[in-house]
Amino acid sequence: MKKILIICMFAVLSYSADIEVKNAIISAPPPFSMLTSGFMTIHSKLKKDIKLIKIESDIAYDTEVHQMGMKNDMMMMYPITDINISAKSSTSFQPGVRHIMFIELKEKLKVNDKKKVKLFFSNGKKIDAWFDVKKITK
Amino acid sequence: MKQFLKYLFFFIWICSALALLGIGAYMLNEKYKEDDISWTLSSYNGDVSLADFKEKIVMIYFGFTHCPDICPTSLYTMSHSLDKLSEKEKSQIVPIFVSVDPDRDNVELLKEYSQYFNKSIIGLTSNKENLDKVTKKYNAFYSMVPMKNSSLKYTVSHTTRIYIVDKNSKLRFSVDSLNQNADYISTKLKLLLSE
Repeated sequence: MKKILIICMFAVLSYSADIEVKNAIISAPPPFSMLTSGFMTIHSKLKKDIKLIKIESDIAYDTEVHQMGMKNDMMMMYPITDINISAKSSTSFQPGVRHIMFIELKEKLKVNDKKKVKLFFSNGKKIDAWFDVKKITK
Repeated sequence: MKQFLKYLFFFIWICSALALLGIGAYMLNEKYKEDDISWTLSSYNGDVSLADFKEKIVMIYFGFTHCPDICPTSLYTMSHSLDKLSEKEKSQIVPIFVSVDPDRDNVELLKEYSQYFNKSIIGLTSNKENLDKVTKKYNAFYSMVPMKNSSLKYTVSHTTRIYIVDKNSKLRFSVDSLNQNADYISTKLKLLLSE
């Protein structure tokens, strides 16, 4: 029985490592601000494409993903869902490209705070990622 | 032959006159573009004009406080570029954040927002009509965009450049805040300060 449990644990752990979230950062907002953005890189070692279908966090009432793009020399953003995570690749959320938007913040965020964000994928996988609150500059 | 020469001189005269008119119009246009970057906008402490900052270098960024990505990053970059200067150099520079979203950004909010990124950043805004005139002078653009499928009612698309006005109140250049870092901006500022 013990052996079976150990084998199952290793199976779960190795499956978990198939999707990793790295460089997870939340932009430190002004104390009175009701929104902010988050950035990360999702590394997939899976053999098939999957989708990031939902993001949740206790720090805000609403969490959305926004894509950025230039049009007529202006930067614009629009909400997107079901973000494709290609097999054996990295998908990044970075300033000026794509971000998580935390809307209606429930708490003040300070630099060096660590906040949990839940990521849900189309293959049923859920990851709890820890984001560092930081000032983001070029 | 005489007739031919007459027509030739007349033709040359017409061409010269047109050329002079064209040059004159171009110079007037350039002069307009060069000079007319003045503005008066509202701050928490009252009206502020570009003319208030003669003999100083002015950095201007157009954005809005509900901007989660580009504006905070750009303002942090502006602040970081100032941190690379000496106290004497900093005293000659005026960083300004102009909100093009006056419906959500009042002057009190703008003051707090701007100074969060750097104590020296002045937050300004105005009514739409005035903002349209000011942004046009800097060749900056903005547009309100409804947000479907979002709890935000609308967002604001806008140019992402930092505009640099020299000590003679001339618009010298603009910097792409997305693709240039604080080191680049501070170097450009130092060059202007040395003029």
